[in-house]
Amino acid sequence: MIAVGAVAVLFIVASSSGGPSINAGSPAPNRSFTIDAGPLQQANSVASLSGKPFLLWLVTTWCSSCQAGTQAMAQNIHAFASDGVRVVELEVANDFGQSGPDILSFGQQMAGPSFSDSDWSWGTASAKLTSTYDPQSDLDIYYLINSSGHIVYANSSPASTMAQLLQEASTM
Amino acid sequence: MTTVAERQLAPESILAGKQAGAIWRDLLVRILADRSSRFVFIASAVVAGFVYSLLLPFAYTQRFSIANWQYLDARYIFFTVAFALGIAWLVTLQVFAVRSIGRGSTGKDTARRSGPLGGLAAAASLLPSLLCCSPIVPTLVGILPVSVATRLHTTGRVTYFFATKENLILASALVVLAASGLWSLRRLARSACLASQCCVPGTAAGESGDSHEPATLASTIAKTGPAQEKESIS
Repeated sequence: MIAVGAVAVLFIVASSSGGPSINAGSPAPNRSFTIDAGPLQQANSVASLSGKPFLLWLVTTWCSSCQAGTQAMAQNIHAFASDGVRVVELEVANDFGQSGPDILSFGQQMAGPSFSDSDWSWGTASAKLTSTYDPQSDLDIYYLINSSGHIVYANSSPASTMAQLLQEASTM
Repeated sequence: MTTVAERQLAPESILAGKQAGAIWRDLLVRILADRSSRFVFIASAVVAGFVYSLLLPFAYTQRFSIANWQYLDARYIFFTVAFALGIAWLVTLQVFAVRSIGRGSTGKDTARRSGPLGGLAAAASLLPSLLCCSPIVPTLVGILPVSVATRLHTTGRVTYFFATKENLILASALVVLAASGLWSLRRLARSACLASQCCVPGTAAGESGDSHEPATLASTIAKTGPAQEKESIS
């Protein structure tokens, strides 16, 4: 009974806790990153992306939900494109100190042909960006940022929240 | 099963071992022949299989949803079936024990002693799904008064462990579950007062070396001889 209770508590915590720590409506803090592949190779910071809405998505390359989220994104990347939203998928700094595939191998494997989509860029977050946007070290977290650089929606695990994310993207 | 010649030549321990095997087989046949036990087994397997099929791929979607089935690969299907059968067997044994020997304390002891181990195995099997990629570990680590760098590293280490050792954890939990099932079966087979048919006057306690345990079926049969063996285990 104790074991079952412990699992139930874990399940409830898993379903209800965590998530983004920067609230919607706040200006997106300007932090740096590097882009390794995709159309935004000139961009190097959050501020450099302003002018058009974009999705800032932080992942670790060894987590299951990040893999599933990337596959889900590959199926929906055209919907984001039609809403004028660019996707920037960044590996958290140093993959939280663990060994995983690099972001390019990860992207090619999980996104398939969509890896080269003209609205999807791949890169690596700086340590500062990681600690600012993901201070709780969630493995799979994203921010939808509008053209004026404000966060309009934030959540985690696109594989399970894709419907809400698409809904929010369609209003931008 | 055991010839007269074998009884004369073989040591008592070998005879007891053979008879214990026969008792296990007989017990299995009795459980499988019992309609209620079959129903309990099937119902438990279906429920456990359904729950496991949703919970094992939980790490991918972070949801308890039918959508998790799209992440059921051969590995998850194997573990889902194995855990469902293991848990169903454990539940069936415990229900059978309580039903068969409900009047005595042995059945309740069997259920009480095997339950935690099986529950522990079932809970451990879900840890990789619940702790990898979910906000649980970051939330718990966030409570600790440590620096951001330490927090990131600790969370990474813990979640990475569950992400990369999932197969090992699942296999270990399965072994524990199987051991728990065998332990329950053994406890049940050793129960002297099974269905109140094998209690021998004067052997109710202490014969098996366990002062809290009555004489075992095997030792009872060894003492009462082949003429009463059939009656004892029937």
